[in-house]
Amino acid sequence: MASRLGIISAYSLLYGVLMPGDILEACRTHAIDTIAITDISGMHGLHAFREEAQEYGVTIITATKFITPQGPLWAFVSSAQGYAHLTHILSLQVQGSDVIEALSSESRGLILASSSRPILTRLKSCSDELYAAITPGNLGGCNYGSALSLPLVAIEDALFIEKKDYDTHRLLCAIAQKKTVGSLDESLLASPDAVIHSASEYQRIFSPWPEALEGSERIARQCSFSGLFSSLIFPSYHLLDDAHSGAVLRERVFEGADMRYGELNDAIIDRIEWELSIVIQKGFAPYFLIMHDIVNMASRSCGRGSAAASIISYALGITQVDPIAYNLYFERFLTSSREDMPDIDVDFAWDERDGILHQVMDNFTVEHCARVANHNLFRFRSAVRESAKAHGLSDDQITQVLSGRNQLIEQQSVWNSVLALAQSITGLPRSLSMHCGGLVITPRTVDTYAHVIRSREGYPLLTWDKEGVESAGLVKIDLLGNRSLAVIRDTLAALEKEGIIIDRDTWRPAEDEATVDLIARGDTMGVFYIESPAMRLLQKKTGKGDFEHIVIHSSLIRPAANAYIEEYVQRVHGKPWEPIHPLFEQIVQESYGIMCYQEDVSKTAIVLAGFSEHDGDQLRKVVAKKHKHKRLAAYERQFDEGCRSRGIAQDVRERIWSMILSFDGYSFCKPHSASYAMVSFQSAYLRVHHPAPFMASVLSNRGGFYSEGAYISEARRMGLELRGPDVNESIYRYQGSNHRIIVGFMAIHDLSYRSVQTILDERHKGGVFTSLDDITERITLPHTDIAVLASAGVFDSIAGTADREEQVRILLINGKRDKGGEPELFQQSVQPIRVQIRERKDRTEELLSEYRALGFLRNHHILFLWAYELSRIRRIRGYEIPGHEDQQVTLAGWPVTKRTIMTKQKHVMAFVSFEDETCIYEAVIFPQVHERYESLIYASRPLIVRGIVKRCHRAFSIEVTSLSALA
Amino acid sequence: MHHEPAATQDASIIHVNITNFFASLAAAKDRSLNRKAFVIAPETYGACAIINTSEGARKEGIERGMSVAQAFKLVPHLTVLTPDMQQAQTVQRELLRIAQQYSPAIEHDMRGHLYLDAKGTRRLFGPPRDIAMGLSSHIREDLSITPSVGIASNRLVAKIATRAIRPSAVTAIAVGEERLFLRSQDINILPGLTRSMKRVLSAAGMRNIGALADLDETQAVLLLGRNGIAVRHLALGEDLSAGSIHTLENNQIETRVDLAHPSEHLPTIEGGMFQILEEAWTQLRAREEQAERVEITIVYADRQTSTLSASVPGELLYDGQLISYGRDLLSRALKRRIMVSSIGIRLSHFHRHRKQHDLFKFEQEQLSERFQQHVDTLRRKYGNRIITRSFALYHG
Repeated sequence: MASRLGIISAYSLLYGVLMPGDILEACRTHAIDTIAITDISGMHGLHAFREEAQEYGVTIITATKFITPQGPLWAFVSSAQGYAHLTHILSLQVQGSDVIEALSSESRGLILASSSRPILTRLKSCSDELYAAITPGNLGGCNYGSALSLPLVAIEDALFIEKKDYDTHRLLCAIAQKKTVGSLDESLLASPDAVIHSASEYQRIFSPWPEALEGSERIARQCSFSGLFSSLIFPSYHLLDDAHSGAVLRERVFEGADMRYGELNDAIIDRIEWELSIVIQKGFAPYFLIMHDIVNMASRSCGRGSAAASIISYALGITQVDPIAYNLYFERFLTSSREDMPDIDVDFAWDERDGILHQVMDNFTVEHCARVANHNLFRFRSAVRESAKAHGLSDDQITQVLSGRNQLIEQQSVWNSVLALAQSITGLPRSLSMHCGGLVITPRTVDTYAHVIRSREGYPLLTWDKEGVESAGLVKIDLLGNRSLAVIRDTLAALEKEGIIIDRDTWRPAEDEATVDLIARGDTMGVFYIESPAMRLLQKKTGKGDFEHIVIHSSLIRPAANAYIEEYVQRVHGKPWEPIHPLFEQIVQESYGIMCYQEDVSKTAIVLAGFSEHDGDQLRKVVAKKHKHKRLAAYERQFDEGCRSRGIAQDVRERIWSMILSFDGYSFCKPHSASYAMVSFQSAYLRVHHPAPFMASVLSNRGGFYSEGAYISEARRMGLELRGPDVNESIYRYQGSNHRIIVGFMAIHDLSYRSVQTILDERHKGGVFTSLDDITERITLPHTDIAVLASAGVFDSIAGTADREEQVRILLINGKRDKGGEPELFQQSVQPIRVQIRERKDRTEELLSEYRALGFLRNHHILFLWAYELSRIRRIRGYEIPGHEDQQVTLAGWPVTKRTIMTKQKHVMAFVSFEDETCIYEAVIFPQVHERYESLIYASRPLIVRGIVKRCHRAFSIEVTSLSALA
Repeated sequence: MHHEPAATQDASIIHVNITNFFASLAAAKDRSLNRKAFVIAPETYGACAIINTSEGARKEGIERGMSVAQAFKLVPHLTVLTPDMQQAQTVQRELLRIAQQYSPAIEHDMRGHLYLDAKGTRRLFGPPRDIAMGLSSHIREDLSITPSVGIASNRLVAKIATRAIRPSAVTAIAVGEERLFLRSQDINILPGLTRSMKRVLSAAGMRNIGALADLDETQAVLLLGRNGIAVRHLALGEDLSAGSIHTLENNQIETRVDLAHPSEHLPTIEGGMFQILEEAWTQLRAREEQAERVEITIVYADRQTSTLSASVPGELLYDGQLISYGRDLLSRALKRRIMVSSIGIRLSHFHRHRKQHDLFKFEQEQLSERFQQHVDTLRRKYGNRIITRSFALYHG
C-alpha cells in the first residue's frame, strides 16, 4: 500500500488550490493508491473525490484537519461511529464549540494525530488512537512522540503539486481576507514547499523515522473500510416498519385512485399493483407517504420531474397528470434495478413555499432536516474580477477590461499576472450557497450523517451539493416556489366568491375546445410556461394547441434546440420525413422524428449504441452538465463504437450525436413536460373563461415573463375594462370580475403599505369616502404618500372639479397631521386654504406623473404620451400586419421584451417584442441592422420600426430594416 | 444669460460655481467630450448614482442621482467617467490661488464652489461686479473652465443666482431685489429641498420658488412638514447659515509623495508614508513647532481619494518615533483595496514646541536628540531625501 495522509484540496475554500482531478493525477504519477483528504474543518469535497477516485483506482480516506490555537489536529475516520462523531463535531465547531474538548470526551472510531505538544498532552489520556505527527515542514513531533510515548505518523500536509501553486494559494487567501496580495501577512500562509512529493522524495524526507511511515500505512489500512454511504437514508413513516408503511401506502393509493378515476379498470389496477410492488420492495413507501403529507399542507401543488410518470404519485395528489391517459412510462421514474432514490420534485405557490418548508421542519424537528448546498465555483469572469481586486485594481478598470473597452494597455504586466492567476482559480469552489429547494430529512439527527452549517437565512445547511447528497445516500426532496400556482389558486378563490366552483378532480382543461384554440393562436400572455415570445410564436407557427403538442413544445423550446424547431414546424405541417435510422423511429415517433425529451437520449444510446441502462442515464445527465468535456468525450467514443459495431453509418451517428448535444443546458423529461403542460392548460382555461379574475391574479402575483405594463395592455386587448386605482374601490391587490379589473394599490410605486392599510381600515369602519374633505377628516397619511396617491389618480372619483395638483394641496393643507409632527399645533387655527398657482400643468404632464406613479397609464396605452408625434407619422397598426405580407411597413413600437443571440459567425442579432396600441408584434433584427441601431434597441423608449412583414405559417413578424427614436 | 443689476452697491458676496464640477474638469481635459453625452459616477456600471451629467446627457433625460444602470437604459452608448479626484484637488488649489488674489475672505469646498466677500476691496479691484468679471476670465484663462459667478447680498441668493445662470455667466442681484429675483426661479434650484419635498411640491403643482415664498408659515409646515418654515425662509432669500466669510488661514505644512508606479504592496506604500512624515517633521523641528492635527490623503490609482484626519501625540519628535505612528495612520487611512498612486499629509494647528531643558536627560534620549539634529543638518544642506531611515534596517 502506498498512502499519503494529509492532502488539502480546493474544498478548503479560498485556501486550497487542488481539485480532485489534480490530486488523483498526482497519485497516478507517484504511484499512490490511498490518500486522506484533510480539508480544513470540513469535508465538502468528499463525494467529488470518491466519485473521481473510482476512475483512478485510488482509495479515499475520510478525514479532516482542524486548525486550533494550539496547533493542527488531524482526524481520520476508522469506523461508521467515528464518522458520525466527526460530522457531529464539525457541525458543533461551527457553533463555536472547542474541538479538542469534544474529542477528549469521545473519539471512538477516529484516529487522531497532531504535531502540537499541548494537544497531544491533552488527548493522550482520552484517545486510544493518537499519533505524534511529523510533516515535511514540521518534524518537531518526533520529540513529543518519544517524550509522550506516542507512535509517530508521517503526514504529507500538502496543498500544492508544484511550488508555483503557491501564487494561487496566496491569491485565494487575499480574496478570503479581502486584502491585496501585497498586504498579506505571509507568515500565516502555507509554505511554498507544501507539495505532494514524489515517492522517493517522500521516503527520503521521512527515512530517519521509518516508524512514522509505518504509522502512516497503518492508519491507511485501518481507515480504508467500506460501508459508509452504502444505503439510502430516509426516515420511517411515523415509526412504522416497512410492511406497515407499505400497507398504509396501498390503502391511500387506492383511495386516491378512486377519487381520481372513479371506477378502477383492470389496466389501472394492474399499473397500481405493479408500481406498488416495486416501491414497497425497494422500501420507498415512507418516502411517498411523507411526500403525500407535504403536498397536503399546500393549497395546490404541481409534482414535476419524472415522478409524474407514476400512478402512485397521481393517486396521492403529488402530481396532477394521469400517466395512463398521457402515456407516461413509469420506468423513467423507477425500476427494480435502479439503485438510486427516485426524485420527487414538487412546486408550490410561491407565497406558500417557505411556510411549507418550515412546517416540514417543525414536523420532523429542525435537527433532522437540512437544506442542500450549492458549490459556487469561480467562473472565468468572476476569477478575473477577484484576482484583479486582489492586485489592487479598481472595479472600474476591471469592468472596462472585461467588457473589452480597455485593451490592457495600462499596467500590462499587472494584468498579465492577474489573468494568469485568474485562469488558475477558474473552476475552483469559492463559496457555499443554499440550493433553491432541496431538503433532506434524516432518521437520526442530520449532523450524524453530514457536516451541517447555518445558511445565511438561518437554515441548517449541508456542506454537500446535490450530487454529494445523492452519493451519500441522503434522499433529497425539492420543494420549489411557482407563481402560476398562486395565480390559479387566487383565480379559483375569486371565482368561488362569485359562486363559481371548479372541481379540481373533474376539471379537464386539456379537453376544453376554447382553451385548445387559445393556445393554438398563441394568445397566452399570463399562461404558465407558454407565454414567452418564443413559445407563443411556436404555437402560432404550428397552430397546435392540444395537450400532446404542448407537452412536446414545452420540452422542445430549450436553448440548444433552436436548430430543430424550424424542422419540427415543417413536419407538423406535413413535410414528409424519414427516421434517421429504423431503430431510432420508435423512440421519436410521437415528436416527428426529433429528439425531444431527456429519456430520448438514454433510449437512443441504449438502442443504437448498446449502452447499459445506467450508462444511458449517465449520458443524459452528463450532456446537461456544465463541466462535462472529459466525460462527454468518453461517452461520445462509447456511442461511436457502439453504433459502429451495429453497422450504423457514420453520417447517421454524427446526426444523432449532434441531436443528443441539443440537450446541453436544461431539458425536460416527458413526465415533467406533461406536468407543466397541465398547469399551462389550467391557467389557459382560466384565461379563456374567466379573463378578469385571471389577469387580476397574474398582476397581483407580479406576473411572469412580462412587465406589469405589458399585462395591463394585454388585459385591455382582451376587452377588459380597467378601473382605478381608486380610494373607494381598490384593495391592495388587483380584483377582477365581470370583464372588469380594478387596479390595486400595490400598483402604485413607492406607496407605503401602512397608508394602504389606513385607507382600507377606515373604509371598512366608516364606509366609502365622499370627498377630499371627508378624507382629511378621517385619515392621516404621510405627505409623500398623498403626493403619489394623487398622481396615480386615486382621489379622482371624489375630487369633484379639483385636478390632481389641487387635490394634493387640499389634502395637505387641510389634512389631519401625524400626531408626532408640529403641525398639530396649528390644527385649531388653520382654515382650509386654496393655494393659487399661476401655472397649470398640461394634460401630458399629468399623464407623465401618472406613468411615474403606476408604470402604466390608467386609461391609455403608453404611446398616448407621444400622440402628437405619432399623428405626424404614416404608419400601420400592429393588428394590420397580416395584411401586409412581404411589404415594407412602418410601425410605432414600445419595446416589451428583448432577447439577443450570437450567430454562428459570432454576430449579435436580436428578437424584440414591440407593442403598439393594438397588439404585441415580434421583430427580428439581423446583425447588420443590429449593429447600426444597437443604441436604440436597448433603450426604454418608443421607436419607429420599419421593416418587411414576414410570414411563417400562421405567425407574422417584422424583419427590421431601420429604427428611429419617436421623440 | 445676463442680469443687469439695478444697484449692486452693497451686494458683496460672490459665489463662484464650477457647474457640474467633475464633468467640467473632464471636458476641460478632453475636449472631445464636449460632443458626447457623458456622466460622472463613482463606478462606470451598476446601481451607483450619477454625480454630474454633461449637457448632452441631460438632453437624453439623464439626471443627477439616477443610477448608471438606468442611464444606460436611456443611452446605451453613454460615456461614464469616474471623478478625477487628483485633478479636482489641483483645480481646487488653483481656484483658491486665483481667488486669494481678489479677496482674503474666502470659503471653499472641494467641489468647485467658492465664496468671496468683496467688501473692502473696491479700492483695489473696483466694484464686486468687476471682481466677478475678473475672476471669471482669470479662471477661464488659467484653467480653461468657464464658471458661473453670482453676486448677491448673501451666500444663499448668490448660490441660487449661479444655479439660475448655469452653466456659465456672471450675474448680480441687487440688494432689495432678492425676492423678486427668486420668485420666478425653478423651485428645484432652491437649496435645502429634500427629494421627498420636491416630490410633494411637484405633485402640488408648485414649480417656482415664489409659490413657496407665498405660503405662510402654517401652510409651509402643513405642506412640507417640520422643515417647512426653514425652507420657506430660503424661498424668501433669507440665508440661514449667516455668518461672515473668514480670512483663509495659510498655516500648514504639506508633504506628498508620488509612488514610482501605483502599488498595492504594503511595504512600498509604508516606505512612501515614512518618507513624507520625515519631511514634515523635519520642517516642524526647523520651525520649533508642534502640530496638533494631521490629515492624510491617499490617492488611489483610479484617482479616487480617501482622507483621514487625526490628532498628533505631543511626544512625537524624532524620525524613529514616526514609524509605528505612520503605520497606524496608514492602516486607518487605507480604506480601499486599490493600488495607491500617492500619499500626502498636511499638518496644522501649530503651537510652539517648548523645549524642556532637562539637566537629567537619559543618555539614550540625548543620543536620539543629537542624532536627529545631525540628520536635520544634513537634510537642510543636501535636501530632505539625502538621508532617511532604512525600512529594511527597521525590519532587521
